[in-house]
This record gives sequence, structure tokens and C-alpha cells, in this order.
Amino acid sequence: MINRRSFVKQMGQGSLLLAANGLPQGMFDKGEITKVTILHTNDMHSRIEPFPMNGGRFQGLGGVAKRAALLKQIRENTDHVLLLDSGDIFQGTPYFNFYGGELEFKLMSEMAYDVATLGNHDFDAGVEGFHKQLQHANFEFVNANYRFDNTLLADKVKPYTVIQKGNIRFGIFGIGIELEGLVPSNLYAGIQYENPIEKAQLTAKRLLEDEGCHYIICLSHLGYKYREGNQVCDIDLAKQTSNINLILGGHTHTFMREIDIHENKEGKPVYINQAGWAGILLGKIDLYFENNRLGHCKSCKNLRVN
Amino acid sequence: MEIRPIILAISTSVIFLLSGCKYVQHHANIEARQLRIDTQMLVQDQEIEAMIQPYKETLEDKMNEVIGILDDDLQKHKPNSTLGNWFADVLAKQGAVIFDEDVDFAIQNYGGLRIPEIKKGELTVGQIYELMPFDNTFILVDLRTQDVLALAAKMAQKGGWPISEAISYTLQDTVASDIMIHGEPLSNDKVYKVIIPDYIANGGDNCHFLVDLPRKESSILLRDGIIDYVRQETKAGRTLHVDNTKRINR
Repeated sequence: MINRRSFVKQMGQGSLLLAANGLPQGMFDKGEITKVTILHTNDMHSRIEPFPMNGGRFQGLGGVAKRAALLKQIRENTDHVLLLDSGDIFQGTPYFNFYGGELEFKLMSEMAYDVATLGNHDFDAGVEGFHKQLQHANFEFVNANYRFDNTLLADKVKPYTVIQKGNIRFGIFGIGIELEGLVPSNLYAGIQYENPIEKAQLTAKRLLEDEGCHYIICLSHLGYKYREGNQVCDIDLAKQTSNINLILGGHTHTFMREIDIHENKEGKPVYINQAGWAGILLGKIDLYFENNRLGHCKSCKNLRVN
Repeated sequence: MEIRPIILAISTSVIFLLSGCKYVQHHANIEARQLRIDTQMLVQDQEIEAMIQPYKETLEDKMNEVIGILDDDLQKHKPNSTLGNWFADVLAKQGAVIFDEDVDFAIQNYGGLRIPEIKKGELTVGQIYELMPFDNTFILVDLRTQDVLALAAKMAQKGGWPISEAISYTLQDTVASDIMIHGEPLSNDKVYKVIIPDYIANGGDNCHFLVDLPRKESSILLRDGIIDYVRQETKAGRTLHVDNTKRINR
């Protein structure tokens, strides 16, 4: 069992120590520390502008221009940044109804998103509608459990991508929710849904063994968890697979107060985070890697599974 | 044939020996936080703003038009809510106009309503778009008693969907009972005319049982129907009445 409370506490202390010392290399003998900052959103739902100031629950929150300013500020002080999105970019404001997602993709490109996955609402203008807007996206889309054979997206959406930041190779793949019953069938015609757990297991293995990735991230649109029924969720994905390090979720619009941690099939930790929706939150996850040939890790004690 | 295991054994031990001096990237630490984009943040990215501006201007002209006045706040909750009541009532009234039929009742899937509330006062085109961003259309479906029961069971299982004023039922846990239409129990002799968004009528949210029932289709979007209704009420000098009666009893 992972003792979550003590982990979070220790994690806090550990990061304080690192911050106070400004990441001193000497502290870890010959170990080299690389910091990579993962920034992520999900379920942006075409929320280009902040919620209007009309007394609503979310009034004044969100807004792409503010997020972009925050991103710039973070990038100025960070060597290695990955900017990711877990789907449902489309649908929710008239920007989508009138412009079909064109502005959403243009803005994400301008903000230099690296990778996104597809949510169910990204099919709201059909496979054709999504495909039409891809010309405005200079970032990649990944999904490993939809088969796009013989559709317009066949060569456009790949199961995974590998991105190197510093000396760290990141394997990033996508997992999508079952579309049947959720999206009108004519809108996703030709796309076959495959078992998310099986595909995640296979893809993560491939990223580790064939692609030599040091860290494996799953962009998931399955949903964090469900109160009723047996619908597969991110927690199932974490517990029933191996080799995934981090799941960045979506669909359930979950405002997570802190990152969640579960044991995978082999008892290793898998982290799950989700950043609400509509661009109200930006998830920020700082990862520290220690490179050495000692056969053990000097600064890893904070991560031990009890 | 017997050489093979030996080679395997040797290669395994070589890997084992090498691993002691191989460079490894250890996952040393993880630190996570959620950054909130709120009104405290004053800085906006100028380039992004400039990109948005032309799109925004075109939209604003259309969206900021005030088309009606709400006499109270609309709030979205399960199972009953003012927003759900208002929406389903408008679907029933406007559906009757579109199909030129006596409509018994209307339903709307809860998840299809995309904003949690609309404040009382001026109602704009933009708010209707945000409330119903989907291009769902009006469908009139003929339901027999068993179909109404199936639909009520589905809605109850989902925790209660918006329904128009002519229908009521009792919800216990996730089970519907005492279904009344126009204040009367279901009758086996009757076929009920029900307005259902095409998303649901075509089997969405696992409502497969609706797919093959007799129906009339229209290509009119729910959103456009609602905008038309609001404009007509305003033209007739009426504000939009918000009804907070409970249609689903617990």
C-alpha cells in the first residue's frame, strides 16, 4: 500500500529542500538532475474567453489569453516544458458553433501545445469536421484505442508519440472513451473502439521496451471515476496496467485538489491528475529525474512505496 | 539443441553485470499543483488577444442581442430544477408548433444542458447557445405505455432528467413509479406524443428502445426553436416565467 498522506508530506519537504538549494547537482554526488514541467488542460470546451461576469458560479474564471500569459511566464523560468491536453477541446460556446473549432486549434498552436488526445465532443462536427480543422493544429493528436483505418484520420491521429526533453524520453499516448451511446453514430462512422486497458498495456510496453522511454504519460478521456455502474475509468486504467507513470485525465470535469496516486499491477505508483474543465485550471506537474550509474537513486527516497 | 539455454544464461548474466554501471534515469520526485486562471490574473497575452479579436467581434454582434427577460434565476440540478423545467416546457410548447400536433410532454437529457445557471433578467442569444451548444433537433416520438415506462426507468436510473409540466413521477433511489401524464395514470389505450431531442431519440445515452418507434422528424435545432419561442414571448409583451414546481417526487 502506498501511504498517501506521508507521501504528500514528504513530497512537499523534498521539493522545499530542492527549491532551497536551487537544484544543486553536488548534493546528489554524480547524479544529474533533470527537471521537466508538465502543464496540462482538459475539457476546454471552446471556452476562449473567461466565463462572463453574470453572477454565475464560474464567473471571471478561465480565458485563453490569461492562460497563454501564464504559460509564457512559466516557460521563461523553465528549461523543459511539455504542454498537453486530454480532449474535449470542442463544443460549449458559440465559437465552436460558428467557427467549427478553427480558433481553438489556432490558439493551442500559438500556445505551443505538444500533444492532445480526442474527447467524445471532438467528434461533434463529425470525423470530417475534426479533420477539416486539423490544418490549424501544429501539435499532435494521439489515441491508441480507436481504430481509424479507412477514415480521414487514418494517418492523422497516431497511437503515441515520443518527445525528448533534456535527456528524458517521454512516451505519450492517448486513450479514448467508448463513443457508442455517447456520440451520434454518424458522427464517428468508421472508427472502431478497442479495449482501453488492453491497448494501454500494449502501448505502454511498447513505449518502454521498443522506444526506450523513461517516462510514460497517458492522455485519457475515460473519466476519473464513476459513482455508479462499471464504466472503465482512470483509476481502473492505473490499477490494471503496467509501465504508465502518469495519467492526465478528462471527461468527468473533475477539479482535483491534489494529484491522486494508485498502485499499478506491479505495485508501482501511477499518478492521476485532472484539471477541472473550461481552462479554469492549469495542471502543473514538476518531474525530477536523477541520472546516475549507482544502481540506486540518491534523491528518490521520497517516492518509496511503503 | 542443448546449446541454446547456455547462451541465454550467459547473455542474461552479461546484462545483469552491465546493469550495475549503466546510467539509469530514476524518477526522483514529483510535485503537482493546480494553477487557477481567475480574476486575480490581470495579464493577458497580447498576441492571443489579437488572434481572438476578429472572431469575437463577429460573434458579439450576434450573441449579445437581448431576446427576452427571465423573471427569476434558472438553476440546473437533479432531479428537479428551474432550468430543467423551463427548458423542457419550451421544448413541449415549441414542439407542438413545429409539428402542429398536441404534444403530451417533452424530455431533455440532463447532460445536454451545458451551463449550471442563467441569472434572471435579460436573456441573450449567446446564453441560449451556451445552454444548448449541440446541434440537436426536435423529434416527435409516439410512445406506448411500455415505452413511457422504459423512458421513465432510464431517466430515473440517471438520477432524473428535465421533464415538462404534463408529466410527473416518484423517484426512489433510481426507480421511477406513479407516473402521471396530465394528472392521470398511464393508459394502455393511449399513444403519447413526446418531444425528444434527436440525440436521445436516436439511441443516445443508451436509449436504444426509442430508435424504432414511430416518429416525426424535423431539422429544426432545439436552440433555434428556443430562440424563436423567446422572441415570440417578448413580442407578445410577456416575460419568461420560471416554474419551480417539483415534477419528480422523492
